Amino acid sequence: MYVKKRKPGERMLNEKKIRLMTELARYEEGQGKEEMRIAKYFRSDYLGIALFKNFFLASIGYMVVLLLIAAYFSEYLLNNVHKMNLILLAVVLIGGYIITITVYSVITYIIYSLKYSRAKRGVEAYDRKLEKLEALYKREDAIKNQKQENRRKNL
Amino acid sequence: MTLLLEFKEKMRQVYAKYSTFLLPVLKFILAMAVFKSINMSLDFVEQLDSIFILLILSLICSIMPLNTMVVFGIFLIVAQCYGIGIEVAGFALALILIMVILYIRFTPQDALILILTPIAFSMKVPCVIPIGCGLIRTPSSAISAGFGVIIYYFMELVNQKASVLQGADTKEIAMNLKLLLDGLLKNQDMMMSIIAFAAVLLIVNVIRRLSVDYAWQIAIFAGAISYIVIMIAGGLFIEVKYSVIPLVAGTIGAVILSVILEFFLFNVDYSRTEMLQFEDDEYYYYVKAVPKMSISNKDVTIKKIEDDRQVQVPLANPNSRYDTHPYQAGPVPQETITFAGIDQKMEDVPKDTGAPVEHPEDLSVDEVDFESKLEESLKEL
Repeated sequence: MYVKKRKPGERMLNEKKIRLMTELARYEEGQGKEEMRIAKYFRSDYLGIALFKNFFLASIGYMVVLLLIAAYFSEYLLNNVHKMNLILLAVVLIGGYIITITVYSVITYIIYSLKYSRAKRGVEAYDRKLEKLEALYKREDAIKNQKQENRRKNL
Repeated sequence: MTLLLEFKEKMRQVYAKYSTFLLPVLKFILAMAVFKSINMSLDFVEQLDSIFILLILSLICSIMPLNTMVVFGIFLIVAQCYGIGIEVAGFALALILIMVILYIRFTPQDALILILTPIAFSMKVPCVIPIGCGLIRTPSSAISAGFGVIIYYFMELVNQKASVLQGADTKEIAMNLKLLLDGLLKNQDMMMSIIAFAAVLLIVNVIRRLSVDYAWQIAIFAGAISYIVIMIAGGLFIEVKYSVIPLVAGTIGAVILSVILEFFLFNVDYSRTEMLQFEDDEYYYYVKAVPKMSISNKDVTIKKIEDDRQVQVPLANPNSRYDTHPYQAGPVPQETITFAGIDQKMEDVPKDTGAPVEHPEDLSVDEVDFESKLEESLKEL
């Protein structure tokens, strides 16, 4: 079997390349998973989906809170429902609902905007490293081509 | 101290080497502890306390993300409550749903606190939760810790009132819900714990972020002391009186646990080994990334300065501090190696004596004979 003898100092593996690839793989396996998923969206789409989800979740939350309150005052409600000003009650409930949805939408908008910009930054750094890796590959290819050319010339 | 450092280093090496296997084992143990503690607090559905169910749930948790444990924990709480009555289970579900929808969904990393707090309470070391959260999380975790306290007191309430709540007919369901809500809203002990948790968490977090030596340790002790003080002071204002000895003993236990936690987080967790796989056109790479270990530069901060220069200063004032305390050669802690000390000593020499005072810097310049050196170099040329 032919075994190519390496000169002292000559390396089979490019350490710089491996280090870079390891960093990239670590990012892909770790926080990159989530960040790359987020960065696929346009900002408006990402925020739109988050706000849409928030609308439903906040509505469910508000209803659950209302249910608990209603259960707590159920006895009073059953006894006094005919005396109560139902229009005022409805206005209060709808007002509370609008305030809840607005507050939660603002919070969601702020949190998800921050998340999006962080993800974008992370993915940009990842892309820069990818470009570096590409440059390393190109350089390696160029050296290989140069060697082949030299060999051809010597022949 | 050396023994401790050696132990620390050994632990770190073991963890770095076997973290791939250790993490699932630790997660399994934690999950088992969580589920067992929930079943011990709420023991109304015997089938759920079966060792097989606990084993299956814990095994699933050991390979899944941490929040799986939270989901299973919530499921167990609700299912155990169902053993008392559907309205209690509904109430538990509504309570947890409100917490998750209105807050926890923004910080899913805090979800674990919801089920760890009841364990900490049942182990009589509740203080470990705010200290731990203060060390590793953000101040906003105070809200999650507060929710954890509510879940614990809810479980306590259900346990205490189980006989009243059980076997309710349709008319009593509303009464039961009222009883549960009243039990939570009018529970001063719970309110006191929430306040103490929030305060301790904020104190620990603020101190931990200070740029002083031993900030983490100081934060742990400050948190523990403030917890005891707040609970005792709070006990004076509310009807619940806390017995001091269990409180102090529990807090000491919490401090020990927090120190262990700090050790693991500060020294060990960051040295986690990672196994990565990737490929290019020529090779498949199976990389084991082991972070470098370095404790020596952190622990030893002594620098030796050898200075055999004798500084001759004319004795203008024999009582001057500068004359009586010439600076000495020898081991000097690194922090003290500044020239501020010398400058200060120079300023200490009375200025109005009228006697010439020679600065050490000037001496070193005067001692060099430039003329002879110039002549020598010219000769060489």
